[in-house]
Amino acid sequence: MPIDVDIREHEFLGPLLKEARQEARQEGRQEGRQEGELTILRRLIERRFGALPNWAAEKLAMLSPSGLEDLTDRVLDARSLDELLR
Amino acid sequence: MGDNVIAILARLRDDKKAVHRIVDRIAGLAAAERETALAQLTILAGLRHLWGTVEQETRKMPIDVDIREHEFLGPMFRAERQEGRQEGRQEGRQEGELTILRRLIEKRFGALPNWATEKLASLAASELEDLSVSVLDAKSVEELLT
Repeated sequence: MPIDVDIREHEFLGPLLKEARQEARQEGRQEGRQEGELTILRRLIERRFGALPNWAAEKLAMLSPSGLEDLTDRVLDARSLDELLR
Repeated sequence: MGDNVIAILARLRDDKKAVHRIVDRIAGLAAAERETALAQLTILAGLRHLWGTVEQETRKMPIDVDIREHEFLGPMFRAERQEGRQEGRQEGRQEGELTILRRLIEKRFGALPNWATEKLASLAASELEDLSVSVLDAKSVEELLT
């Protein structure tokens, strides 16, 4: 029997599923945002100062999006990794 | 019980009465069976636009089931969440890369002209990553983005 039912159209489950998806999407978006910012900054910092020592990589990974954005403003002028991250 | 739910809902004349009978029987089931039967009823009733009636009837009985944790519906919710999370993650990644790059480019070359903003917004994550390295050496926005 060909069954063609999209459970997402279900009058009760549909909205619940949609809500679950939306919530997860928001969470994912925040994670992704942080990952994306980190990716760009890491590459830039490595280009300027060479491979990152562990302490620097850890410090970077702990920063929030706003922390990473602040760092962006300083990365071009900083003279050393120490000056940038300590 | 499953067959019962289907049979009754399939050829019901009086929606309310049928739902009432089913809910009544479900209330008398053992907990595990009850959960399964309720999930079946939920799905079928929803497809036949009877959810309102089911909700009214189940409210009268002491049943406390989180449909999201159900053995059949649970995985469906998990799959939905997983897909949503992946989508969000990709969107976020691109947004994050764009935010940082824009800031960098503006810091180096001043406010971005419209064409540059549009160009940046159209780039994929991997292209944005490549740009992150050339932003240090480029002498102008034109050199960087065209």
